[in-house]
Amino acid sequence: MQKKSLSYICLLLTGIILAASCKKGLLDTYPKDKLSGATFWETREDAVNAVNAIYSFLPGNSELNWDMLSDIATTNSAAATTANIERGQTNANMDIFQDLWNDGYKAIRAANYLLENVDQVQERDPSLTDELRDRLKGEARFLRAYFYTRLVMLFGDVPLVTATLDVEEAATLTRTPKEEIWDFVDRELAEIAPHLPNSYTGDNIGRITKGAALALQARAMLYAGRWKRAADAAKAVMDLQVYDLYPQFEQLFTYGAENNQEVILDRQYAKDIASTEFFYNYGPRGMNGDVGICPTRTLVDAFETVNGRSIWDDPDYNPLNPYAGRDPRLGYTVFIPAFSDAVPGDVLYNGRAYDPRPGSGTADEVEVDYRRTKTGYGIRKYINIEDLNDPRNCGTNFILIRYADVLLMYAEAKTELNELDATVYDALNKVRQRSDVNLPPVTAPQTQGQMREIVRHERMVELALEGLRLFDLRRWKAADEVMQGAIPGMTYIRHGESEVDTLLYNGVVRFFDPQRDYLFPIPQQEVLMNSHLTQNPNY
Amino acid sequence: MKKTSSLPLIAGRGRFFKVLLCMKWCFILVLATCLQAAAKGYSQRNVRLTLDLNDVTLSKALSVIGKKSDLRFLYSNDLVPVNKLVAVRASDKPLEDILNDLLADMHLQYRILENDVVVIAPASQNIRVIRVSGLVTDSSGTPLVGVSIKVKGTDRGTVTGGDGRYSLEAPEDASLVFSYVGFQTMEVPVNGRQQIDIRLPENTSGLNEVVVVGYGTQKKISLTTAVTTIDADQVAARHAPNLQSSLQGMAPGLTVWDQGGEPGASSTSFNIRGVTTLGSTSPLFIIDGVEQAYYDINPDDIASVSVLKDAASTAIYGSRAANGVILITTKRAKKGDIRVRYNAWLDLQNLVAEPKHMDTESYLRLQNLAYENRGSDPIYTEEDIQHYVSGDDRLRYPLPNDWYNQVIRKNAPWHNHSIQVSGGGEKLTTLLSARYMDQQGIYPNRNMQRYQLRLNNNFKVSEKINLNADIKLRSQDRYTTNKVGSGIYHYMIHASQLTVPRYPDGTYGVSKQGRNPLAYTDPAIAGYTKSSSDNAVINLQGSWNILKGLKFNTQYAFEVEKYDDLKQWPTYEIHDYWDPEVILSNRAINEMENERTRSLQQTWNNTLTYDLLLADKHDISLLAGYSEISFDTDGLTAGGRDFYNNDLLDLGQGDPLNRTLNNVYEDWGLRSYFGRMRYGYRNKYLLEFNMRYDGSSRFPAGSRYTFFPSFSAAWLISEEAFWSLLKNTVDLFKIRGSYGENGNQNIGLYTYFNNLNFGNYYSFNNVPATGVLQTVFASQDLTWETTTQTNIGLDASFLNGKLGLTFDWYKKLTKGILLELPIPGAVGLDPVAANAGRVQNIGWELQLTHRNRINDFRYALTFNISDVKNEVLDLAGTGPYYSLEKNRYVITEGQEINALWGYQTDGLLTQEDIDKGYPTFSADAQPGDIKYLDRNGDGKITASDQTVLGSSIPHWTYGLNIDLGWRNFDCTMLWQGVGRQDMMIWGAFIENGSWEGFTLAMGKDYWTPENTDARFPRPQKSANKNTEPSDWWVLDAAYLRLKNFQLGYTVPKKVLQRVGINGLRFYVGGTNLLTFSGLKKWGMDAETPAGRAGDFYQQVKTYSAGLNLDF
Repeated sequence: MQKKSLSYICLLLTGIILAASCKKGLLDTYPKDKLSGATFWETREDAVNAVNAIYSFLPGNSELNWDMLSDIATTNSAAATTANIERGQTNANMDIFQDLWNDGYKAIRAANYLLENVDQVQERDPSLTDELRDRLKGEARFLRAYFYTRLVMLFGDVPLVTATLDVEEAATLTRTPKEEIWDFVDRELAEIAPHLPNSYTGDNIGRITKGAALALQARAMLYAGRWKRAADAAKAVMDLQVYDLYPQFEQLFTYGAENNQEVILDRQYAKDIASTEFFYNYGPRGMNGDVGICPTRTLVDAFETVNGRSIWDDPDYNPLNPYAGRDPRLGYTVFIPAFSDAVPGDVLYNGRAYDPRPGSGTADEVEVDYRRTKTGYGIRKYINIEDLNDPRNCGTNFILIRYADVLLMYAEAKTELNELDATVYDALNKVRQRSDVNLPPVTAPQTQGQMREIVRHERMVELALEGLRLFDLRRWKAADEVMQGAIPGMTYIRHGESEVDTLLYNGVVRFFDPQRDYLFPIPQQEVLMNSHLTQNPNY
Repeated sequence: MKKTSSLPLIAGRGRFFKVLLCMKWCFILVLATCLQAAAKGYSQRNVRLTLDLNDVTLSKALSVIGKKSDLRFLYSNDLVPVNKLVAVRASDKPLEDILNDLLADMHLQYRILENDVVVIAPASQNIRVIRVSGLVTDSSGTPLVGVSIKVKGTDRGTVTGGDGRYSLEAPEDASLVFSYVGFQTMEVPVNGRQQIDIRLPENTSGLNEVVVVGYGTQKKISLTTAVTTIDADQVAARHAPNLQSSLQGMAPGLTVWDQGGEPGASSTSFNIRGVTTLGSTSPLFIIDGVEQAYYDINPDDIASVSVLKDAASTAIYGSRAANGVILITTKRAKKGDIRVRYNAWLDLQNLVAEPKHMDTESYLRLQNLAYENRGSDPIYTEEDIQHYVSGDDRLRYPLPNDWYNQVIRKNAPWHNHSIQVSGGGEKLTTLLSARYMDQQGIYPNRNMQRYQLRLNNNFKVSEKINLNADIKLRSQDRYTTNKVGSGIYHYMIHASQLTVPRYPDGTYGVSKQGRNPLAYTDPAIAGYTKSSSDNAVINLQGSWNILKGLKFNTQYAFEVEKYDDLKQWPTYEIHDYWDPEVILSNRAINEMENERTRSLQQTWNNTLTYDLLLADKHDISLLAGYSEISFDTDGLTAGGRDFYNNDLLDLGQGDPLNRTLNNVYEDWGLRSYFGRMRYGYRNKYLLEFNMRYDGSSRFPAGSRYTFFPSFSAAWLISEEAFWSLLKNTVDLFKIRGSYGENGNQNIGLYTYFNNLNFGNYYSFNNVPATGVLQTVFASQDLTWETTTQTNIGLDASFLNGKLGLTFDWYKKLTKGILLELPIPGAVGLDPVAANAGRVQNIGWELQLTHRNRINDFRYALTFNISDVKNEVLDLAGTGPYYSLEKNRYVITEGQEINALWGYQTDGLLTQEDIDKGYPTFSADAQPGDIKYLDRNGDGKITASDQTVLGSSIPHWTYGLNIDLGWRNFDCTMLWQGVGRQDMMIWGAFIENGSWEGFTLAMGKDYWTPENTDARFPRPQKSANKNTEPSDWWVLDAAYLRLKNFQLGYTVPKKVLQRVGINGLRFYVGGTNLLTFSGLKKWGMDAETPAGRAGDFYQQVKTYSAGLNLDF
């Protein structure tokens, strides 16, 4: 019996060993939920999808955070990194700089990766036409140029990378002088513009157009101080006859106006699909928002009176009813706070009065604490009623370049060229006289110096809280004095009183070192990893 | 063999030949020892000697004769005139004649016994020699082979044979000395008896115990490697939430950070012998031969725990062993009557440490000053302060921070029941174990229930074939409110000052920052997570004793784990208590997410072992093995929002446009060949060689396989003849040495593929667009981390095992450490781990044990202590690399891994500093702000002034286990601590009112012109300048704590027998009952994780009561 069972066991053991032995492919595992680079770049779809992914790097509505580092707004949370930058406590170890650097080069890498492979896709899949291939390349090259423009404005000279790199190559890069990068951007945009369509239809709307390439060229050349190139590029956009101002400034940043004729480049969003938390992050506390950004009184005071004059010069201006009779864009840009018991402010979308006055007891009451406005003002652009009940699911596209900007760029470049012809006044006045703005025109003749001030002022109010002010201050070297000290908030009369009080927010006391702060530091880690990368002055 | 006597030539051939040569010499040495030992027992008859001795004592003369003739003389100094001077002259004279001549004059006679022992006695007495024989067994009656029996006073005797029997000639008044490694040495007077059977008591040092090692067992005494065993009873005595916690303080070199026991979640991190990798430092856990989930093992099921530390003991686990290996076996039934044991306990959990908040008035005045120092007006009027202090209207003037009273539960219960039934007969023995545990959290609405079952069966199929079939089932349910933002504890400390926790009508208050930690414990606000995980292990093992000593063992195990996680976020509205129109906080749309994963791990191990004992002294043991492990997991996550109501848990009912759906698949495989060779000579000289050849799917074909060898040797010096004089004091003295390699394959999966992620990254015109993007750098040349380790150890046992000592020194070098090093941003991809650095750990470990009994009082002490010096030797020229908020940890060459990093400080700034223009961090620096040192002297405080500030690694970690017993009372204590550790803190405790965080009572010691020597800088609202990482905020985190305490009483058997119970023990005790720590005054627990109060679950202390019942 025992012998018999023994032989059974032997058989069984041998059986197990044979059956289970050496599971085939035990070590040949491969990812099942990811695509592999080895099998990609085969079809037209692959090429299109690879371009789509580059778009995801386009900065979106957090772009308006740059304005916190300018005179027109401040950071809501005094503990935030941007608040420390406002205080002049900037240092190269701050994560924000590494993130900016990385994000820029990630987008550039994705573009380079496509550019290196798209030709071979065409060999494998003839349905990728020359036209489409050139368009895709154009989109990728545009996006690459967009990020270089941004990197130069943030960091100054940066390595110009036009191919995918391995670690060794990247570790020995040097900083390319920014003039060379401007040359590159200029050349690239000029080259791709002819291959890009004027416009798209259907689910291609939102892609890079010829107008976008020319408009970015205008912006980059303006930033570079190459006035002639800038003016020509802006003129080329105007000559396309594709774009025009949207008649309602008030509606420009709403769902209803998405993809309108003024939009040249935007970061596309969609509720439910590719949504943001814009309303939650930036909306007023009275509508349960986090008040992420606080516009300053510097911005508010910059809006003219309806007479087209500064509030300091206009005898009609009434400091006891300060928001009446003003450039309508003021009320479309920020929520107007209650000034006194007699002069109420805006009514919020939920019917509540916007009364941030100290002592008002409302949710919007100014507090030094987090999640309350510090200046009394709140951003209104992009704060849309559709998002009130679902504030973390917002889908308004965030406009990155619009036609008004192009007009003002044209005016600025021509002014710097001192070519103050009628086209300059036309461009400027077009912006000032949009249907629902309708300010008195600026009339000739103005000196170059006067015109420069007028155009710069117009950019400040027209493009406020769209993330452009910091770069304007940088290129104008205009931050030295405006970025110092405590931050001006609203004027108001306390409930039941009659004296005018002025808010001065000193949770952040600004300090700006002109010898240092016009550029961000190169991230410390990058400098340590690559000894060829020099640090910006005084960091 | 080719002649290779030319040494220079060999030397010229390099290291390999040197090693060969070295091995050859070792072999010759061993051989010579064997030959010498074999030379005994030649006959003295016909021996002829030549001697010329003048005026020597008799004892000297006998000693010389003994040496020349290899005889041993046995006589009594009282009866033989040993000091008498004699002369012996002989030239090639027969031995007998020489002895006769020498002794006759002194009236002495002699007799030569069979073992060349010569008995000398006065001629007047009879020399009575008898043959003594008998059986030597251990305490359980098992015959012991090779026990040495000597006639006392000589070094001659015999050894027991294969059946444990012996026989020898001895004078009938002599004494016999029985000695055996691992057992107590016994001296027995013959007293004329011809039959002497001996039961040798085991050495109390436990050296005889069998230790579980990789793919087998060994006697502790014959270990050549660094293995520590942990007393399974002590593991069970700890009421710890998981296994890791219960191993804390139990073994030298095993460092456990216990960061609190959240019900059903593990909050520990641990390592063996320092940090050798930047990934997980968790050792490999093998339970009953198979890697499987370990944290939830029922402590009552554990039979043994072995901690394998050096490379020689772990190399057999190759690529998974660089962090050390912990082997656990579970209890199996012994044959016999059915035995039932029931264990139950109830623990009451409370916070260990509770920070004391500043008194209300001091807090308000601090705030006023902080505002004033910023240039603002004071925020509280005198009237406000009066209201807050008097407490006349707490709804309008709430206490500054009352969360510890409002949120934390007192005496949160935690109870556990386990029952074990075991027994069986000749052919089948079974052990059934079941357990139920329910743990309530110290936060409301957090709890966990665990149900466990284990069935361990042994089938004896035949004399040669044994089968084990084990089943383990575990089901765990866990419930917790969802983390809101950074979690409850975070908001108890931050962003919730001066909030009414709850108004009389049930409305929650909301802090100015929109927070209320109490509301976050309410599922109707925070939502909840219900997790259930089920785990089943089937473990089948068969062994076949093919021939004597030859054994085949195969094991197949599979572990299935299913995990189901349901998260729900309800709609809610918190209205302002004073103005219900106003909604202070809300969630307008409800959401739900369900994650389900299933994983399967299959292990197949095969070993063939051959054990051989040659000529009773050459102990040879060989092992060859093959193993396969495969792991597959797949997961599905689905989410939705906008459900009909908060109770409907059907994802299908949500908004169809707003669904998320994701699959995840992961798999890996490991194929391994391994082996061991062991040679022991007389249990004195031990050599061992281990190896493993591992292939892992984590690496690209071509670089998958690696070989991990190890060598070790031990010498039991105490078994040498020359030790015999010391033997009574030092009964064991062993030195060990080992060298070996092992590896770490713990890198991400599929890293060598150019993986492209696939997703809807963007939408055009509100239509989702598919995007494909590579985000992570692909690495083709990734390979294992390889750790080489040298270990030198010493084991000693004194006074029959009353005192034990184990000391180990090691040097561990990890090469090709897998670092996820940042790569230049210009690459445009996220980094993947690279084999980038070398890290060295040099450390030592000491364990002392002492056990004794004085009348009714018995005690045992086990003390262990260890330290390790970690150094990053090389980062391939890169680094430093920073981590944690504001770069508080650094990894850089020449420093410890994750050294603390920041500014050095020099007190607080004075007016003199400001006047002299000493550089400051912030432009608005004032006297009373922290003075950061301008280390590089460039006149600015920048990141380049930062430096290493301390060590985040615990040093001098120790544990002391005390077991006391007196009659029916027993008491166990585990003291555990860390001798040196630095901790950098940040967040509310150091902000001291700059923001809206918790202000400590000790924060009252802040800078004012009158109090310049203050612990805290000058208060200033919304200032960050004083909270930069600096040595000002590095605290001494050394501690000593009574980790566990138990006092038990066993009811006398007499009492129990009447009610038919075999055993009954009651006990009371607790964990973390006493703590000595510098962090105490900060209100922090000794084991608080570094940093800002995040979402960690705080450490608890428990009071327990329990009983053990044995039917």
